[in-house]
Amino acid sequence: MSEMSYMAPERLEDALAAKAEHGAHARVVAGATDLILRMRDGVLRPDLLIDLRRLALDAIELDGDALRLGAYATHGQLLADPLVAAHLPALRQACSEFAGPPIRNRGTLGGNLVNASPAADLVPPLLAYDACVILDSADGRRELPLAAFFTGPGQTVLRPDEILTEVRLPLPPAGTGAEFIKLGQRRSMAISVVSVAARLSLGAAGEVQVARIALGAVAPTVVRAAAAEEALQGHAPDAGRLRAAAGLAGGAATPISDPRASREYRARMVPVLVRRALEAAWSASREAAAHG
Amino acid sequence: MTAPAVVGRWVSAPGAAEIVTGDARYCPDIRLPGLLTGKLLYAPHPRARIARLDVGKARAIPGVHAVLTHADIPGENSYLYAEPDQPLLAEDEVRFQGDAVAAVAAEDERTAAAALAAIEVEYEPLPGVFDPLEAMREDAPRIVAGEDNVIMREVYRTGDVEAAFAAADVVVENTYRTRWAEHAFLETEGAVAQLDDEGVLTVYSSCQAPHRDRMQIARALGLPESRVRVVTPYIGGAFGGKDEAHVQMHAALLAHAARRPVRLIRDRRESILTHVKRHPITVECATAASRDGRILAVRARAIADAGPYTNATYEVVNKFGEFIGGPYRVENLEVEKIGVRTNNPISGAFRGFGAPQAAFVYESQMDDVARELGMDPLELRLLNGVETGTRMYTGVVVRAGDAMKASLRRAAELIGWQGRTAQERQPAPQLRRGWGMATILKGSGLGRGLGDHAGVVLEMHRDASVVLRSGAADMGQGIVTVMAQLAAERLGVEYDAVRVVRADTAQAPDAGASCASRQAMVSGNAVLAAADSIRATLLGLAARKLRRDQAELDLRAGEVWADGEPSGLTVRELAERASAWGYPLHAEHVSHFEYPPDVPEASYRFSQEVFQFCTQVAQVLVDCETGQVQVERLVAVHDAGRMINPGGVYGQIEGGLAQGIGYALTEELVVSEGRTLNPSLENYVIPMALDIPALEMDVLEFPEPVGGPLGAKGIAESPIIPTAPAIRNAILDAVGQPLYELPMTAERVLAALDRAAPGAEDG
Repeated sequence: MSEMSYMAPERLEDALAAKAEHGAHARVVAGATDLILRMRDGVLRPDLLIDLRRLALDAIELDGDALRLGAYATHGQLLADPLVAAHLPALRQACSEFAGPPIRNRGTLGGNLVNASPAADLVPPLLAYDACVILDSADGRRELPLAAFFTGPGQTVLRPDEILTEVRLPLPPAGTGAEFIKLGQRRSMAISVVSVAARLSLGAAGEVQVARIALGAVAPTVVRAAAAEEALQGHAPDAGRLRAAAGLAGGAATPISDPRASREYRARMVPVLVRRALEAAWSASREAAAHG
Repeated sequence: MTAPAVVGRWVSAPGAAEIVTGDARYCPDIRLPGLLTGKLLYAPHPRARIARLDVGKARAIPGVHAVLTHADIPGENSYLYAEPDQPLLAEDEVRFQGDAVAAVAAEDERTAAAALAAIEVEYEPLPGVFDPLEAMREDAPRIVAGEDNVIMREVYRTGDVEAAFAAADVVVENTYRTRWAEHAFLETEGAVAQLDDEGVLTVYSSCQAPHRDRMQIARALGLPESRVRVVTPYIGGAFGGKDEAHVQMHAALLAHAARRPVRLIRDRRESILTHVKRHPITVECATAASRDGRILAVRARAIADAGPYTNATYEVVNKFGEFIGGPYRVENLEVEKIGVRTNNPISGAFRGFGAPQAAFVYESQMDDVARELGMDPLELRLLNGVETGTRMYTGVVVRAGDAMKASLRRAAELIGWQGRTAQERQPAPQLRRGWGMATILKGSGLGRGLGDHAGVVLEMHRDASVVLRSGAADMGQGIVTVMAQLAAERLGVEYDAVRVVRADTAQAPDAGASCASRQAMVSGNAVLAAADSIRATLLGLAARKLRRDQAELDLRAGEVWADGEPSGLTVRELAERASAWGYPLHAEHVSHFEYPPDVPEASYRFSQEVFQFCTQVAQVLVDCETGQVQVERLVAVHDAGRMINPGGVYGQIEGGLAQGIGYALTEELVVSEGRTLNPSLENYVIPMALDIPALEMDVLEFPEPVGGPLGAKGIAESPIIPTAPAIRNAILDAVGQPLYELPMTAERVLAALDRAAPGAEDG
């Protein structure tokens, strides 16, 4: 068995240079909550670990009309952050239902994304908020919509020489409400059986200007329910319309059976959870519109 | 006599501080000079012939000190819980995923892993038998050559069952299914073995039965038991899963071969794949009742999946049958008990020993009967419950049965059984709330006719400090605390004056296994008897010194009391005097589990006769769209006879309720064609803190008249037994649909709802 090297550079350039040199043989370490397990099981055998802990990549800040979330921010930091609480309640909700406190205090935003689990809890709300990811390399920087980042279970477009350093989101407009719902086999430390995030941004007349619905754990990647979103676009919702949209969401799901749940159960839960998420998002958006 | 000074007090377990701070040493914490890492190679197939096994390359790896196959075992190549049909290392065939093929010991983890990888095994996969019904067919392949696939098939009958069914107004008949359940103890199985200069093998063992381990280790190595010593370090839980030995013999074989100490610890995956599980049992059960609510007869047929080897199947399935009538006066009962070999995971002991499966059946039947009759389930249970003096369907006469109805009434009072509003029952359109109860009895002790005894050695020193040596393993259940309290009580010293030596076969006599809710009673009685012998020395000296009659004196809190007052004479002065003049301050005693001779012998074989009674009531909220069940309240009322350590009693109840919630709702070993698909605690879903409501517990104390130390009786098993049926009955109350399969996952709840409203699947 080969030996493994470790570095914890103080400058991002050094981390990127190492990544450029070693490519896929180097793995970035943040919270290591997934990485250690995969290394222990022999799935990953990196030659070099690049620890991001000294790079101060955990800032959560407002930048004009965008929110910047550092990739190294932990779920615990996101959960405690006032900007997240004020503008991204569905993301906050996902953080609160993610694992348990010890893992929330280790696991990072960037890790949750790069790990690319179809059941990753932070991905549905980030998709609902139109998040982009910033990918840095020695050659420069790419900014991609999060929706274009994932290609399959554990698969992303991240190149071997790149590091995901930041997530950017436009500030949600006034009149926005959002909800995240996680269905798990228990109330904490659960891998999602199905998860849903929904976001509605209402115009002055109460019509839906933006509808976003993202589904977790029912397809090879987290997916948007485009047909359901379209059915809401431009209309003032009512209970019947939300229910109808929820019914359409099932079309985006192509679930599988595993020890946690059957394909049939997952498919059946999609419209239920989407309807609930839409109802809650609608209620929150009307409240936001009234007070905004 | 005055009230007890130490018994009945909340005391902390010896070593509690070490356990909480992480200083307590468990098997994996043991460090010895030259310690090697042991590992086992497990079968990749649930059934296969071993065509070739070559360990030559593994042996040649530098740093590898021993590689063993079945051919290298000097003694008997088998476990011996009951029958010697499970090999330590497979010979010509592997019969389930937990069969080990070879054992290695190496300098470190990595080298040991490399050695395992270098072992060459050619398997010829054979078609496995995974359905017990299929295994029972005449033409089924034999799981173990030369042995019948049917391990046991017995029928027990009492009364006239046919006539009772013919005369019944109501018959409720259902088929129940339970699944494998995993103990999920915090500490996985492990052992550390060391051969000393005198040729004595010492094995540190995370176990429940150190003396039986000793026998098994000696047997495997072909050594006399006098050359084997088993020591229990701290043990991180067992729940029956460490009743049978696991890797102790392998560790000992490796240490013996390598002439170096060896540590062998199963990782979580290996642990889940290899050790025994709670038996999956399929039960057809029919209950006959009269219109006025009397249970007239019960008929049941149970088929239990044993996995490939006998292990505890006979005993577990026998206990299942012993309790299938519940704590009720059932005069006519017939139960057919069948245990069958398959190539599935091996089944064996797990807290309750067949009683949880039985309770799920009989308590579900009770609620179904109540619905059929339009009767309150509480009333039905009160009407049929046993009482003191009831002769049960097993032939056992209940000696102390008042707790049965008392626990029902108390639990009903605590939950507020009567009068629910529509708003409470349906707080939102898709939500339904319900309440359900279950009441059970479970015996303590191994059963009449079985060797069931425990020895202790007790010694008081000249400073009145006390050492207690017992072979009873403490896996966290608290027997060490209970024994220290009983000794302190009788010797008149403070609780912390008694040091209990953790079970060590070199220091203490056999106390049998820590199982069957027996140790507090049988070891407890041994402690009392040994302590009374020393107490007699002390009181004799005190009587002479104080010129009083012994009967007027008591020992309490370090002093001799006379007429209810401290006399000024201390126990320490007496101990000094006894030491100086050679009066005995040393005692040994072996107690036997007591069965009163004045009752007729029960007709049920190996019947238990001391009963834990308890009632639990669950309040659940069912989400009818997702099928998810939330346990909102859980009331548990248990009879402990008399509490020796109340903290220990409540701890047992809390833990059992948590395990019971898991057994009821989420814990399912997913097995396909003999392979476990979720061998991790990530996917085998035990409840966490948020899944467990604030538990509402109460303990009743109806002293056990015979065989209980100071009236105490075992409490360990009963807490897990009623939880699943109580939750099942609460779901039934909430949604009007019965479930007949455990665990009651969201999918199974939804399926039950679909039966009520076919086609209503839309969100």
